[in-house]
Amino acid sequence: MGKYSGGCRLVYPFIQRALLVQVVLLSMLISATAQSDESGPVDMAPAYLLLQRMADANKQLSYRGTFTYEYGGSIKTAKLAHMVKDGREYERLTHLSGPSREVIRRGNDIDCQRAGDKLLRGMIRLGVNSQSPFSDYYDLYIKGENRVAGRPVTVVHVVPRDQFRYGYALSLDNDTGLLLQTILIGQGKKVLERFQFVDIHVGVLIDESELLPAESDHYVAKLDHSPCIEDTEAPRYKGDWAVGWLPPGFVLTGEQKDQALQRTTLIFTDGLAVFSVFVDNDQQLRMPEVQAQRGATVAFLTRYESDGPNYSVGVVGEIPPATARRVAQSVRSRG
Amino acid sequence: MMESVSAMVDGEANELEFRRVLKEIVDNDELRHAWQRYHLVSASLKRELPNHMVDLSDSIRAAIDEEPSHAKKFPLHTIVKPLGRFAIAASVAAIAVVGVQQYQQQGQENLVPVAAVDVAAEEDEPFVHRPFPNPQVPFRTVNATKGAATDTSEPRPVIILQKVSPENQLDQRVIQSRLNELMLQHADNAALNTYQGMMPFARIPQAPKE
Repeated sequence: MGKYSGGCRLVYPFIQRALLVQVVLLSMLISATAQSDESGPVDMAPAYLLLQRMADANKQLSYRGTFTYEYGGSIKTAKLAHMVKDGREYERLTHLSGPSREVIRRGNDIDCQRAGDKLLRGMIRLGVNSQSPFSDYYDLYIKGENRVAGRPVTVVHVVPRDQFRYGYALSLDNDTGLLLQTILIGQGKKVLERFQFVDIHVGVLIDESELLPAESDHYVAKLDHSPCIEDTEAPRYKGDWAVGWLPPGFVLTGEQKDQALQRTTLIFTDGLAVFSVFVDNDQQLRMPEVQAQRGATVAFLTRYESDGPNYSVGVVGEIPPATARRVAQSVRSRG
Repeated sequence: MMESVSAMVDGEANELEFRRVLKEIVDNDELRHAWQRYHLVSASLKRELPNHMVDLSDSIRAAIDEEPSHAKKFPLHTIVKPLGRFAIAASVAAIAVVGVQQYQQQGQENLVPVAAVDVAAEEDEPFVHRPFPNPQVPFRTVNATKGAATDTSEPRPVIILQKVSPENQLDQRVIQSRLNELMLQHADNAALNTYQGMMPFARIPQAPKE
């Protein structure tokens, strides 16, 4: 009997404690948001210079390092060696976890600038009023110093100004400008994936043997056959397929035709995000309309049915699903 | 007001908004439904949605209403009571949903059931332009809802979120392999056209074939 009434009295302290915990949590949230809102409008120029420096550094320096790739609770490790010789890039990426895999790339021309490079470097002007090519689509914030792979870095946040693209938190090596950490941030500030070097040696001599594949079934990455652009105009596509809607700021940067697969590929970029549009002649399979996602990569497949052959249209990229769908559904034959 | 609720769900509401919402929500069905809806959207975006939704909030509210009041002993509680009821009902409902979800997880492998994912949700969410939090972007490295022990080093294969034309009888594996192939091609394109060099290839899970 005595025990019983004691139990009853215990209910209130419990409720009070539950309330207290909630109040404490709420106040923590409030103080956290209050801190994050301190940064007002900023001069974008210094951050923008850092991005330009990054674009050069990643192509022109020789380095070897180990990095992690994380998304959705899983983590992979890989090592990367990058060497520049006679104005060409030689690279090898080796997966260190999971099944053994390698990707190599030999002889990409570093002097050849494509639309993406030009956008990042501000050589292509997109709107008439834009102060920098980014300012119409992204805001840049320098968020102070940190350390990645044992090296001091400057953190730059790239915040999209519309819902058509994702944001980035980039950590750039103070010494060389190399990109040491990339966090891709979706809507609602949700982190979608993270690349991060854990160890890197920059400016080292890379032996050519380091760039040879050890496995016989390695993948050889494509070299870019899209045009190096000389002027300040983005290339215009005059092929068989028209993309009726593009998110603002995206320009064509590459175009490939694969006769064997009967596939046309168009590649678009806004300087940071890239997506590919694949148009395949699809007579047998009749691919359904599908939306898929892995990490930050989104794919949207749809059909394009004409009087003649039927086509499967696929849009793949690190862009919001709604953007991918809208692009895919706007693809039309010019014929 | 709806905006304040949305901000609360995102953990971005200020103190004033919090007070206003908590005061209002006790007697406002519309707001309570918005609160539920936003959480549902948030959970679906994080792919934390259980197979079956069980809404216990109403029965819990009713049960709390039936509880004999102890408020006379604590005059202060007459003010806090409605708020407390709501908070308790909400936390118990949250626990109930989590419990169901844990139970459902077993046997559920790579595919997210088509019906569980509200793909339109992302579009409906209003776009809010504001800086990311500083200094650290939170990153969930431990995925509590999946079998962590089997899935720590290897990213899952392509997850089909929604088949828009379900009448198609094409084998799931054919679609998966097609998606994998396109994603590999895209990684190749991204490696050529971004500032990241070959790093986009790390996104590709399988041994790529030439």
